[in-house]
Amino acid sequence: MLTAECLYSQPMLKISAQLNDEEFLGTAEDLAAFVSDKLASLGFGDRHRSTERLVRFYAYEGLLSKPERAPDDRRKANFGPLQVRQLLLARLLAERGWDLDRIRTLLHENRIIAQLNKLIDELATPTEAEKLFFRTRGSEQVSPMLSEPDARSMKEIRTRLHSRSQPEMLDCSPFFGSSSPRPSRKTSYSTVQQLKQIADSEDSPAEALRLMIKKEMARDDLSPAARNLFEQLLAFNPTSQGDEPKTERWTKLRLAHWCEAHFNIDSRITPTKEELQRIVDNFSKALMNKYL
Amino acid sequence: MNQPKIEILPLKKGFLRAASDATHVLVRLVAPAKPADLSETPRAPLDLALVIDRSSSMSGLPIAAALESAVRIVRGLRDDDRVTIVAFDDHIEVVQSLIAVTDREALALRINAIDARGSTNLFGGWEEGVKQLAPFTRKDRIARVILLSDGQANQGLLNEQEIFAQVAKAAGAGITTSTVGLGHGFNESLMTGMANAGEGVANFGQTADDLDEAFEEQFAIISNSFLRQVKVSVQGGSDVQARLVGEILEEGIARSRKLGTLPWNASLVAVVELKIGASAKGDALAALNFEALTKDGETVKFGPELIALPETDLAAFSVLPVDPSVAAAVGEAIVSEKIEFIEALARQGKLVEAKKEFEELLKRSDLSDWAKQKVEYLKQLLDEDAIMAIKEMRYGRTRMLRQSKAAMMRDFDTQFCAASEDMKEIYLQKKVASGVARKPKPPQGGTAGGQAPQV
Repeated sequence: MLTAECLYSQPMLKISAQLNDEEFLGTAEDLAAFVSDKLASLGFGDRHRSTERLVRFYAYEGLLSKPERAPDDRRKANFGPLQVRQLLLARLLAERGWDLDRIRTLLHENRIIAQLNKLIDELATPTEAEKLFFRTRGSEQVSPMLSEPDARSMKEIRTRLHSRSQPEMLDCSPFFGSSSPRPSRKTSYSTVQQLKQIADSEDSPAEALRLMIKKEMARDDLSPAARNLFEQLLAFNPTSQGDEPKTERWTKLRLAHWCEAHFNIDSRITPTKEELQRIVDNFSKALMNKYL
Repeated sequence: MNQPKIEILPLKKGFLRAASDATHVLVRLVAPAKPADLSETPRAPLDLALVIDRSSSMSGLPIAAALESAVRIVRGLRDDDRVTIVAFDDHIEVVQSLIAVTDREALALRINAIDARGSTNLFGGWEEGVKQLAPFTRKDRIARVILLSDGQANQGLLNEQEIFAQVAKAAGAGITTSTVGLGHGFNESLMTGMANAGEGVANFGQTADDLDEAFEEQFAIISNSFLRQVKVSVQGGSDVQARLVGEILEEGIARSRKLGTLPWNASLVAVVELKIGASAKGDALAALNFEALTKDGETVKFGPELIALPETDLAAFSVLPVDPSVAAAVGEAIVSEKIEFIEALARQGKLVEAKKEFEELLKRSDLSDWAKQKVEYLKQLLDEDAIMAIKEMRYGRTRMLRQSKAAMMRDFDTQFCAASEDMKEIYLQKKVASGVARKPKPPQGGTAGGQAPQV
């Protein structure tokens, strides 16, 4: 199979010299299509594709420079060769496991086309050191929607849960990595009830989940890491119908103060209401069926 | 490519079969003199990550020394070098991502804005330095992390062996690591271990001048590098037990060792101890192999080179002459191994025993003048400041084993004189005290920078 790596290892024109985008001027949709086609023609896989939504998201996150307004239509934004390079780099690096902050810093410090061309050529293929120290897609574990303990662990949880010697305590920390103080069984049960309500909610389950997280964030015993995770989840959820979602590539979330869940969210995909519903359903069912 | 020369220099030019004592052989990898047409060739451009510990224990002199050194380094870099600055406490901050060194004053301002706070996520800081360099590593550039810390890691990854494994992994992928310990409190075993695993240099000091000399030496080596990441390995022949002398407590019976960078017109040495059995073959007592990277990043191998000696009987062996230069070089390796034992005693609080061991060591007849002065200094320091003495022992013995040596053998047994050391390249200069500048620089105007090391 012809890949970017084998293409680039041959003596050939530098990638920046193959962009042929001097005349490019287009909308977010045009930009996404142009960069997707360019990356595909250069041998990079389908996962590097961009969408209009992703372009808007990157622009919102400050990865892409502001587009120019079209002279004939002030509502229309025109992206040009600068944004072609920024998006191309962002797609290459995001697919190699770079987080958005790291990409943003790099792009902010290289704001002119000549600098970006140099970067594109230098960073087209990952170095050995980068493969070792960045979590690339290939090295990522395919995480289930919900991280569930194995059967033996579940048995231990149930044993603890029903143990008369510890009637008030549910210690899930060995299974979920929680470092917070041991919560009471009552608290755990109420959290499960909340989750059940979320699953049963007729309104947006995402909104209900958001409310629950906000409530959890009010706790004063949250570690900075847990608070950060909650903030990520809030950033991910649509604030209201029709708003652009803020996505995170790979997020470990502590959904309650006693429990973590692992979400694998592709930044190209906007989760639909149904998908979110499924996430919450799975989560709720797993809790109800296995813990109680 | 100019070839290095492998020299095998036995302490005595003969061996005694099934002797109770081991015999020692000095092995040298000698670089040629820098060719005239290369003397003006600039070194490969450098990608440097300065990783600065900003934890609260660095308040005062240590952070001032670290920042001043960092500024001096930046001022001494070339325009085609790139630098990234990472500061860490329990939080990792990229003060400056990798950038070409064009605006040195802006970089100096950024460095001087770093203040001390929080605890010490040493591994996290180092890892961020590596991540800043990793995407940009190229064979034609030198990538190095320089970690400046005063502390003990107490956040993030703490297991030393796991940290060393990560550092070695980075070195294998082209990013070497050097460490600089500051003040009294740093973990010298972690810092020297990281530098060894990272195929860089370990230094320590109290002031910017102390560090300046260390950096000047480090960059001089980089600039004059003939081969880098040199490794030596030895394999005993039939009925011969072979090992490399030095660091026996840390490494056990070592048959391979990282020797670091070999500059032009210099040498790297290893001392091989041979325990020769009754059925050993004199024409193949042991085999040596060297492996290294060229300036362009290509792997080169030299060897196998056989250690062969004529067999003698007891009477002949006892009157065989000893080459004084070889004896001095072998003596330094043996002293370094002895210091390791004394360091272990001092760590256990057995200071009286440690001092006695030093006294025993000073009675040895094979000590070079430099080794003798070093041992006397360590013995005195043990009386004055045991903590610093332990650090001096650690760094001093590591340096004895791994520092590049002069190409000329007579350098080993000439009388040690600090003034005459100044005539040599800085990376060949011998120091009695590892953590103290030989010649503190006079203050330079009012800037934080002072004089930039020649990079």
